[in-house]
Amino acid sequence: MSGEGKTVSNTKNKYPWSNYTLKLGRGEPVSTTQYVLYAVQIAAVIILSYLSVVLLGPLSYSGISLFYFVYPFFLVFTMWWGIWGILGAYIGCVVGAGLMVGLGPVASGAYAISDLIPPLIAFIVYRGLLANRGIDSLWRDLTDKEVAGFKTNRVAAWVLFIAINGVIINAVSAELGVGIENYLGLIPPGAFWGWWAGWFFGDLLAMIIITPVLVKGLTNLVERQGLINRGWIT
Amino acid sequence: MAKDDVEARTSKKYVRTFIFSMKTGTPIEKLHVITKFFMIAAMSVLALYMFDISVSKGGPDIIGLIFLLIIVFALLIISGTSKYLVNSYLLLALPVPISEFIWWLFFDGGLPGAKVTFYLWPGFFPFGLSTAVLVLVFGVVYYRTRSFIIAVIPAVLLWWLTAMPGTLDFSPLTTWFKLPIGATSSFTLPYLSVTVALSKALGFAVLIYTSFLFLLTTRDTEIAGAMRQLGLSFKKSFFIALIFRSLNTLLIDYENIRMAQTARAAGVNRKSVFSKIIDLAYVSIPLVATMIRRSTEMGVALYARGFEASKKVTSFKETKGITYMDVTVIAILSAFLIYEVVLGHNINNLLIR
Amino acid sequence: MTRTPVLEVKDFWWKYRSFVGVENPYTLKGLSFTVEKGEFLGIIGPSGAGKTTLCYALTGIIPKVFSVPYGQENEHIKGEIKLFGQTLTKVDKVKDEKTGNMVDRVVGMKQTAPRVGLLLQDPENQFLRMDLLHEISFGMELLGLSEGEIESRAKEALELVGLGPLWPIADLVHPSELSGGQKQRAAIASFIALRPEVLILDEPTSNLDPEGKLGIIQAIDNIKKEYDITIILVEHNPEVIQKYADKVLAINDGQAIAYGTTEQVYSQCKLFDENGLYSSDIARIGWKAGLSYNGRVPFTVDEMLTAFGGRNQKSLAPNLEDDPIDESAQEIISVKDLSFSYEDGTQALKGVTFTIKQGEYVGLIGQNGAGKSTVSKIISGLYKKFQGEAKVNGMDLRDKKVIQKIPCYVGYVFQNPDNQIFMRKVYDEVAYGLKNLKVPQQEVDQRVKEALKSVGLLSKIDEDPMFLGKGEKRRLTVASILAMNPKIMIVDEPTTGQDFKMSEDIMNLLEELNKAGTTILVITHDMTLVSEHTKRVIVMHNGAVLYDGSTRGFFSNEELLDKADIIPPMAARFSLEYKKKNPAAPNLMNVKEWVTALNHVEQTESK
Repeated sequence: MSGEGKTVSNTKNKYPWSNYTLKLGRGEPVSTTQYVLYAVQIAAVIILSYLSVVLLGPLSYSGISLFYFVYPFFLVFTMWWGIWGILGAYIGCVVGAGLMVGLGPVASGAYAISDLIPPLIAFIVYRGLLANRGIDSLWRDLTDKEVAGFKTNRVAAWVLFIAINGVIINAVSAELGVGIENYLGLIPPGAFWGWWAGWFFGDLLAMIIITPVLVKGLTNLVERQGLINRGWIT
Repeated sequence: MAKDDVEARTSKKYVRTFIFSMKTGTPIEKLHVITKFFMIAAMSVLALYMFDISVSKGGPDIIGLIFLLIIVFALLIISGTSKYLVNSYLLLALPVPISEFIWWLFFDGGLPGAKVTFYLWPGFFPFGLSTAVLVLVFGVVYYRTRSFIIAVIPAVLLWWLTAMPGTLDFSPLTTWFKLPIGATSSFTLPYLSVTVALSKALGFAVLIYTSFLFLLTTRDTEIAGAMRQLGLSFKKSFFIALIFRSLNTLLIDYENIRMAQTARAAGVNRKSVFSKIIDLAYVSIPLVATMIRRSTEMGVALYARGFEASKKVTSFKETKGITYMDVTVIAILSAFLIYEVVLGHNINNLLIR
Repeated sequence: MTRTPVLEVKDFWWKYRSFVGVENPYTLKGLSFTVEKGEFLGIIGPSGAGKTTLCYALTGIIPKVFSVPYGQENEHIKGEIKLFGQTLTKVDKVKDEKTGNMVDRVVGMKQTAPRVGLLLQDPENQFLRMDLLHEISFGMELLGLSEGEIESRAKEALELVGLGPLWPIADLVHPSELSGGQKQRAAIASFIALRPEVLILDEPTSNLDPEGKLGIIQAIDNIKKEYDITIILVEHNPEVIQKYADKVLAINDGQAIAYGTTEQVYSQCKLFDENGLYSSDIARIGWKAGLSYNGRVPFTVDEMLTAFGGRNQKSLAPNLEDDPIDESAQEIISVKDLSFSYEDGTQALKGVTFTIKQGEYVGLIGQNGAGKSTVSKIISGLYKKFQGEAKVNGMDLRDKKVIQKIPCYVGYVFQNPDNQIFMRKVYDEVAYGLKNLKVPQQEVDQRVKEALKSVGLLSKIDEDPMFLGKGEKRRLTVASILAMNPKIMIVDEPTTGQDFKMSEDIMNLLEELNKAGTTILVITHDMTLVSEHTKRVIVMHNGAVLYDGSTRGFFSNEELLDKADIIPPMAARFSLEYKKKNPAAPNLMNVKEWVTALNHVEQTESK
């Protein structure tokens, strides 16, 4: 029958990722499958947040982990699923890295805002600004020389990745998170910068090591299933 | 309810909660989830307030914090959840208050006032109550774990905590005999630092165990039901319920994936910390892939039940009414909040003065 | 008397959407058939034939959930499906609201629930709520029924599926507290409570033991008769289909290869053989030995007894002697008084004792919950906290250092391939274990390719396992363990959800490995395969060993079979029935033995 063996092209635009923008979505309502997927990913982030804090035992303190490995997850989920990934980041932190490790609802609800900001900014910067300048908004150019036939610039991709996500956004997040904990009296005044450094480097390390693994291992799978959001919502 | 039904119901002693299970028929099981949430929110606020070090409010409220901790542990025991806590979370939860204590002890920003001397080593080995603690704790932990290292750590820690104060006052009740060994080693800290550090540790303990109390005594169905009661639409409350349902499934998936890795010799050769971290990352890939696969199938299952076309959805045994017990608990906690936070009283100062 | 058709499928074609990469081929190709009200239709076919896709199409899930891109409807759907006389799915000309032009769009019913229910294979993904009560009542809540109505229907539904005792505590029972079989029953109950007119079941009993399987299908049949429900059942087991179905549709590669009554379809043994479909032991014996019943192959034991008729039983081959077990062989697995309890207090094993010698091929059988997987996981080092003694190759499994090294000796193939596959490329999946064992890269390459070749997956070496079919995933898990060259292989339910040919291929592969020296322990509910491939069985019942001895000895002992709640393979059942009238007849267990025996009879009679 006609159509068999043809290659399906993602886009007629300049870059293979040009379909992924800052619009609201595909113009379709959220399907039941997507609805379920977003709920399940929030559950996954909750578990991973919890494991990020407790698995490293002596290397974590008061909700701060020196290897906060859930961080790259909700970054990647946001790049795939927009607002749902951001929601997952927030709820994941409140429940998994807050309530389940004993921080109480007030403290958890407040300092989880610092986990909401990084994916939000990353989504806007990459899809709104960098995607039209040859940088893949799905970060495949961190690991692949080519994306759907388009040659990538891995060096630029890594430099921007570390500068934007690893340094700038991470620093903002650490400042916010540790600041909130300080305001609530959870941190000794003399220890602010020690905690800040723990937060900053804990996230940075996890981001550099795990993001490429996730992107390489899963983005293609998610895209093949048609599950990458075109915009914020769908 | 028929007699057989009543018997069947009472024979089910435990009901599954967010983490582990709780005993059925206890007062805490009967509380509405909103009351439980208010309880932990109130206790969190109280703990945050009580370990506030501002001098204007009379300093931290240590007695108040101890009182809160006793209430929390009492509730954990009544709800039948304490055994799960002891078996699983106690060791995970302990490092947090201990680390809080240490951080606040040494990073207090130099508080004023009288100094306290801490002995790292008094210049002799004190035989006394502390020695009995050392032997007892080591024996019990070793018997349970059969691990020398796991038994030695708490034994030595508790020995040190009981030895040092005993050594300080050289009371014959606590120190029976002194064996001179080594030189004396000590440091001084402001008394206020010690009080603050203790209050932070206790406060954190209250926060932690109150959170666990909530997670150990709350069923996921209660959250979904409460959402409906608060006026959230069926689809939104179902979305929340789906998150909790998925938690359980994902934990099982995680366990299966770890087993599959073990079966393929993941633990055969010693690996560096870095390799172990990468292995952990590699667990996430099948976890996410499984998550996607499950979502597709669950989406199909939902469609097959008529989820998409549903208009008027019946709320069937999802909600619980507010009872006199809920009102009582909320009233007591509110009174406590008003006493401490609004009126600025301090139980510690009240009792000690 | 013909009844009203509830489903009409007319030359239906379907192609799944591709988002990136190469376009998918058609999964359904021109299917046409009709299902009448109150009918029981069985759908059979090899793995990957399109049975699940067909189920999705019959419920409207295709194309509502698996949508097609706008403007490409004609490339994905052709033909029509009608449900209750109305169009369910069809591509038709519709006026576009924006342009006013007539365009091709998918038209049809928006929703088929509650009139049509669909039960999927995996019970875990169908349990959507957090307690049994709300799971049963979920569909009814969505319908907006009154609370009283919901309660009475829920109670009735639970009773109908045998879960009535759980009603008083239904709101307290969490999904994790239910066994796989109970979850499946609960899923059936949740649809029964909706009182559908059509109930479609996609291999609903694949996780269950034979007794459980028959119990569920009997319950469904009872409900069908009580409420005049139309049933469409996808199932591999021919006994189930032959007993309950009015009509059968056999499909392969998306096309219908046979359609008619069970008699009409199941008598086409050659077709079954060519397409890798399960026909019953009796049918295969009848076909290969040239026996007939009313002009066709016999299907049941009674029919076979009649067809076998006045054959001279004395000329049946004398009692077959099994190859003796090599007593000099080294003990490779030894468990003594093994006990194990799960965290929730369930005691899974109660003093299990057995030994397995090197080079043996043993079947570990028993009902669901008997403890088979538990004991296997202890032997594989996956479960550590047990009481009693367990040794592998003389090494004590209570030693932590031994447990660490066990994967070098024992390969464990999990029951559900999805739980075992975690890499994103077939090559990487097979290579994972070898890399953990620090095998040099060149050797890794060689071993991966050899393992994939032996399971017929070499062509898929670069594919993502997520996109492999069910059968392919199962073969991949076998390959990934095979590559590690373990001394012992434990395979948990290797043939669940597999078609006949694939099951045979996997079992033959295991037999080859066994001949080459690998000790095999296979856990399965498929007694036909046990009788064909294993000489020894360990039968577990309620956490203990009920029988440990020859397979023949077990399948010829009715009392033991009854005690273990195990239904022997049809060939063995026929032997048991035959021996009642002819006590001197040999104990024959499987198709091959019967065919050999019957050919011997022919030869004797012709002399």
